[in-house]
Formats: sequence, C-alpha cells, structure tokens
Amino acid sequence: MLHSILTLVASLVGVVLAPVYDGLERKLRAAIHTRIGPPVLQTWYDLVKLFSKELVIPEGGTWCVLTLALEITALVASIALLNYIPLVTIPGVVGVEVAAFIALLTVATALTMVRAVAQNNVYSVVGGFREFTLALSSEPFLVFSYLALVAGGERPVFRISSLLILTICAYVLSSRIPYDIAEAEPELSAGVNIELAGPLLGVATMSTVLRRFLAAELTALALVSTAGFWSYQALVLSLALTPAVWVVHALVSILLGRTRVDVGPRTLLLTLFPLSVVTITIYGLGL
Amino acid sequence: MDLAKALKAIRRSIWVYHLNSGSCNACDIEVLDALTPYFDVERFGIKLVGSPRHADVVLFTGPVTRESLPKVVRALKAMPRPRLLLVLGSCGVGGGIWWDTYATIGGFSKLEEILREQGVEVDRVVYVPGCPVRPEAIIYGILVLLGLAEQKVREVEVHAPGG
Repeated sequence: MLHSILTLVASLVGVVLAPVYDGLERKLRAAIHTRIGPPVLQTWYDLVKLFSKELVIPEGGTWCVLTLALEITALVASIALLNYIPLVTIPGVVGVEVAAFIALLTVATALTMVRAVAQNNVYSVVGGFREFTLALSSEPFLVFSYLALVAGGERPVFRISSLLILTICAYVLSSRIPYDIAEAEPELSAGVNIELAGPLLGVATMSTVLRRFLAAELTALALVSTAGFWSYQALVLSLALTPAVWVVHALVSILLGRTRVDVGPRTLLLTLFPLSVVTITIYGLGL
Repeated sequence: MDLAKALKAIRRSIWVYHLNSGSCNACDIEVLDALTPYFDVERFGIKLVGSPRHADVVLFTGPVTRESLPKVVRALKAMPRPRLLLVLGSCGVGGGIWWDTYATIGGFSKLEEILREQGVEVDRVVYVPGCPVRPEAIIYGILVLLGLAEQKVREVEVHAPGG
C-alpha cells in the first residue's frame, strides 16, 4: 500500500513538474542566445491555452483521438512503473513490472505511428514513417541496455557499458535535435501533429513533454542504480537527479545542429551496434 | 463564443502562423526579422508554428493573388476558433499598388467579404500598414490584437474649413 501511494505521489510530481522542466529548458536556450526568453511556466501556459481552444476533430478522427488517449495513458503508466520498479523488485531479477514497463514504452511509440497514419494527411504519414525508422534503430538497444542494467548483476564494466548505450537511447527517446524527426523538416509542417488542434494538440504536446521526462528519469535511475542505490533511496535520488539530466539533454540539443533526416538513424546504428557487441563481449569475459 | 475569455487564455501563449498570399516578400522578411532572437518575441510567449491548425494568430501578408485565394481560404478555415488575424503591409491592408490589377483581389478588405460568404468567421483583425511593415510594428500589432497594448492611432473626423 505504501509503495503504491509513494509511486502515485512520485508520478504526480513528475507529471506536474515535466512542463516546468521544459520551461527551464526554454529559458536555458534563451540564456545561451543572450535573450530573456519565456517565463519558466511557459509550457504550462501553452497547455492551458491549447485546452481552452476549439476542439477540431481531424479526418480519421476516431482513430486519432483513441490513439492519442492510449498514448498518453501508456506514457503516464510507464512513468508510474519506472517509479514502482525500484520499490518492489530486487536488483538482478527481471520481474513482471520490468516486462510491463518495456511493453508500455514500445506501445507508446507504436501508437505515435498509428496516430500519424490515422490523420489522413500525407505530411503526417511521412513524419510517422520517419518516427518508425528512428524507433527501429534505437528502441531494441534501449530495451537491451535496460535489461542488461536490471539483470546484469555485479559486473562494473558491463554495467557502465550498458549505461552508455541507455544514455544515448534515452536521448533519442526524448525527441530532441537531431532526433526530433516529428519537427525536423519545415516542409513537413509540424510532422505527425500537423492536423491536431486545440485540446488534441495539447494532449500531443503533453505526451512529448512526458516522453522527455521519462527519458531523463530513466537515465537518472540507471545512474543511481549503477552507483549502487536501490529501493526508496533510488526513487528519491532519481527524482532529484531528473532535472539535472534534463538540463544535460537540453544543453546537448542546443549545441547540436540539425542533420539530414537519414543521418540520424544511420549514425545511431553505426554507434549502437558496435557498442552492443563490445558490451556483450564484456559480459562474456565476466568483467 | 466568449471572445474576452478566449483572448485571456491566449495572452500568455501566442502561436503565430505566417500566411503569404502573394506578397513581394518584403513584409515576409520583416516577419522573419521580428521572430529572430534579436527581438526575442518568445518573452511574450510568441512562437512560430508550421500548421494553421496550431495557430492563434495569422500573420497575413500580400494582396491575395487569384492563384493563392483558394489556399488562403482553406488555411483560414483550418484554424481553430478564436480566429485572430494580423494583416500586415500596404498590400495586405488594401492591396497596395496592386489594388485593382486583374491578378489580385485587392487585399484583406476584399478577402473578408469572400470569407463571410464562405462562412469562415474571423473573430478579430488588426491592420498594420507599411511598405514594408517594421518588425517593431508587427510585435506591437500582436500586442494590440490581444489587448496587451493600447492602440495609439485613433479615428479622427476632419472637416474642411467652412465645410
């Protein structure tokens, strides 16, 4: 019961703070540009505004609304499970919670693609297929590195190598430059969200912000567990470390430039595949 | 729709969509200028978006060429309510030097009639004249449109002496 209440509180705090962290990122970006920038609560202002606007249902509306609702549910559930896992599991054991977390994360990505195709807009469909390519080139490695960290046991070099893969994959999951395929191309005009307006766009925006929170918290939890913390300590430390990881993600995205759309998935495969081979070799060597 | 309530929500988060209806691009360059870090419009919550579905305010330029007319109507129809328009430049306001040519309809005043006929309601319009319009005027126009700044120009009736 206590675990459930703690998970609920931690997840609620995460959902409320995620748009604030996004505001901090925008403020940081502005500071680097030597300008004042928006208020820290700007992302919340954007969300409140979007929910106050007229509801326009796009073509293929039922599917679009359904997938959007399922996507945000899957993301919130993923955050809740991520908070729940250190409280109820033992390090080194892959339980049903870990499997459910991986399944929900994959389902959320798949739903984004279904939503893109359901919108009946050619730009949205193109954006959806680009998201699909990106997911194919990063998500298997994310799952591999996460499972390696959960079940890896006392192998320090193997853990650090897995952590490196997870850190890269979590950055890709956060949909930032050069992996923000949904908004990568001006000609795609807002990518997979092109037909969404008002409250529907609000839900889609919240889903992006929650994805970023999930990416930052996942990295923070991996760092904390690699340092040897678990249970309550891991939960508290990972929640405290999440804004710091978010800032690092933000700094990387500000300093990186946009690349051609095919460069992202290709460089990812060229980096992650050899890294995974090295990690498996390290495991084989028992390091 | 309660416009005052809708405007209150938009005041802190203003997403603009740039709609060129066949302008010479001078006003469009000034629109881009107004959105650069130099003017830092993000401090007012102003952000450029790539789809009319996401827009709160349309930055409208050009005298509306016959070729662009159906696309302009479609883009404005795609906007969720409240529909707010900032009509920029001499051409947007009244057609400019193209006001009576065969290839244009002559600016927003004529477009407004067509929109009304097609059932596309526009909730508020602010005109920002100039050839080209200045970036400071564009930012000021957005603030006037949302009621964040007072309109400086007032209508004055002028009578000829002895008339």
